[in-house]
Amino acid sequence: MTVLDTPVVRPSVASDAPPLEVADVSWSADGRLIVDGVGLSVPPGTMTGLLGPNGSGKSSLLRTVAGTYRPDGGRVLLGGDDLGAMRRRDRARRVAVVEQESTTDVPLQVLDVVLLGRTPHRASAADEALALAGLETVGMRDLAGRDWHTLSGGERQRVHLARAITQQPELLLLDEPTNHLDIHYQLALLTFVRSLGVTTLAALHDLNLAAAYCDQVVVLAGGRVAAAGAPSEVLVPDVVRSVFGVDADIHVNPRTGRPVLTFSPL
Amino acid sequence: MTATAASTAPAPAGAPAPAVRRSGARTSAWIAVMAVVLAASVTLAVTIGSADLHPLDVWRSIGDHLGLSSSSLSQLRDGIVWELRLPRVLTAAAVGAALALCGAVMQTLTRNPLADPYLLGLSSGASVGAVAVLILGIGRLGLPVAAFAGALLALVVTFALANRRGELAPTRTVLAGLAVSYLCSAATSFIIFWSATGDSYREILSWLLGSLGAASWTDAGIASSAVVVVGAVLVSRARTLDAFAFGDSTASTLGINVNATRWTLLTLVALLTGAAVAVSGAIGFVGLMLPHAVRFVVGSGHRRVLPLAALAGASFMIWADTLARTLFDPRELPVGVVTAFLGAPAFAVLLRRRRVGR
Repeated sequence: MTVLDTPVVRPSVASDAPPLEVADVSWSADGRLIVDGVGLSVPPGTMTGLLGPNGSGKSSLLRTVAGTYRPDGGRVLLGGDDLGAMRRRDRARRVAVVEQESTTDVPLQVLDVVLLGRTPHRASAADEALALAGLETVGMRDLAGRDWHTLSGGERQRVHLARAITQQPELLLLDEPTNHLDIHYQLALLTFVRSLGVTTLAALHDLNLAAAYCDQVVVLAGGRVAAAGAPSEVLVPDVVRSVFGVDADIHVNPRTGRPVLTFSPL
Repeated sequence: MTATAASTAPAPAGAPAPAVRRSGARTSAWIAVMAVVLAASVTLAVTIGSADLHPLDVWRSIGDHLGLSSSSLSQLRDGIVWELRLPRVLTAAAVGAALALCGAVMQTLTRNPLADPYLLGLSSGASVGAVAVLILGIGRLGLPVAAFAGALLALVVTFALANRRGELAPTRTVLAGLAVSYLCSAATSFIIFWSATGDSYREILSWLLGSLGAASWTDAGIASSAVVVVGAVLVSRARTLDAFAFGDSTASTLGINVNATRWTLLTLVALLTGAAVAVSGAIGFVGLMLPHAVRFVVGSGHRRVLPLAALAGASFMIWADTLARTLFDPRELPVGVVTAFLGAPAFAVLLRRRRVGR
């Protein structure tokens, strides 16, 4: 099956995946409110896209959900458990994060990077097999012995995804995972993610990618939720105009029935 | 390319992994080789110099003193081995191991390939403490404590300057370390200028350049116990250190308490630096170069890098000090001069052949 034929309607999702509930979460830096009382929910095993213009608080919200930032208020529940109240290591066993363009100076092999996903877990003889399986999932098992620094941007991003898979999370948080990837890798990466059946919250810049791959989208503006729901309900001209300041025309993708947006300046 | 989206199931077992450098057996082999090199270095370095000692004399003397044997080694020869050379060689080994360990851990925790105790102000801070004690004449036992206090103070000031919203940016950290280094050097010069006279002036100066000439069994004991205790803790945290490869926020999402880890481990590094500086002065380049050399060979997993860097640092320092005391015999070069002369070209060669990180 090629990437472009990927069915966009999910046949079924893993039934044991937990839902994510974000309730009234706020976070501020230097006295400025960046995330302002955000509430959203991600149904079990589905992918929700986090959209919004630059500076709307997408990355900050993701980091707050991940526990990297301590929220000023609100709660983050995964399957009913309060992530904020968990020990860091316990949280890392349930939540994996792929950040945008995270790189390193030290000489590392691809497999070393993927094995980092086992850090929060007890070391075991099965770790290497899990890491290789993670690489297999993203189609990179043959590159396990390669030097990280020789990889392209798309390959690096897929290795990070393999690392996150190897972490065996119940929740996957992605911060603009398709940034700087060519169109093939953009589609491939989101296809991999969807196929995992892991509850996923992904910040995305490209509204069309979100429309094509997400089960739901949440639009942030100024740190608040401006709209939320299915892509076809949320990605409408009024919302795009008020949040992004551009005019949008909505079409229908003839292959998938998903919305396709074209933009013009106001 | 075809995306293998359908294959979320684990890879079929049995398919052989491609050419992946695997740790286990290879690491053990490297550690065994480096341990043999270290033992041979200790033995040979003790025999080098006047008196024409045989390598077996070294082990006879050691056996006699540990009560394992009673050989007919002459008192003079035994004295040269046990009183003069062995403490010095063992101190050199411990200092080399300590500096290499410190460098490896600091490079990881600051995400800076240029980090070493010398660069981040730790050695200079330790020197201020040590020189103050030398001038005041409190005695040899006060020296390690003062050196540790100086190193820790320098570390706190460096990170206070570099710290911005809880993050340590590599460039800021190096600049802060430079500032603290210069301040500490100035403070050291100031103390010497005001207080030192004649003999103590010469003694302090040679010590500042790095010297193992006065090494005693006490020094060997201080430095090697610091290496063993701190080294064991650092190796036990190897996985945690690995998780810092992609920066603080990735480490945090992997379950590491980044700030607590950084402060704990850097305090241990300050302790180790203090112990090394107290017995040998400030010796540069070992902490910077050896961790990189080891990473070139075995990759950057800390379970491999830390023990190997310690062993390689120990052997390297033994030979640097042996050169220092024999090259212009009877005059002694400061060992810091030797490490820089050996280290700088070796580093340049490594840089040209393969990049150091980036």
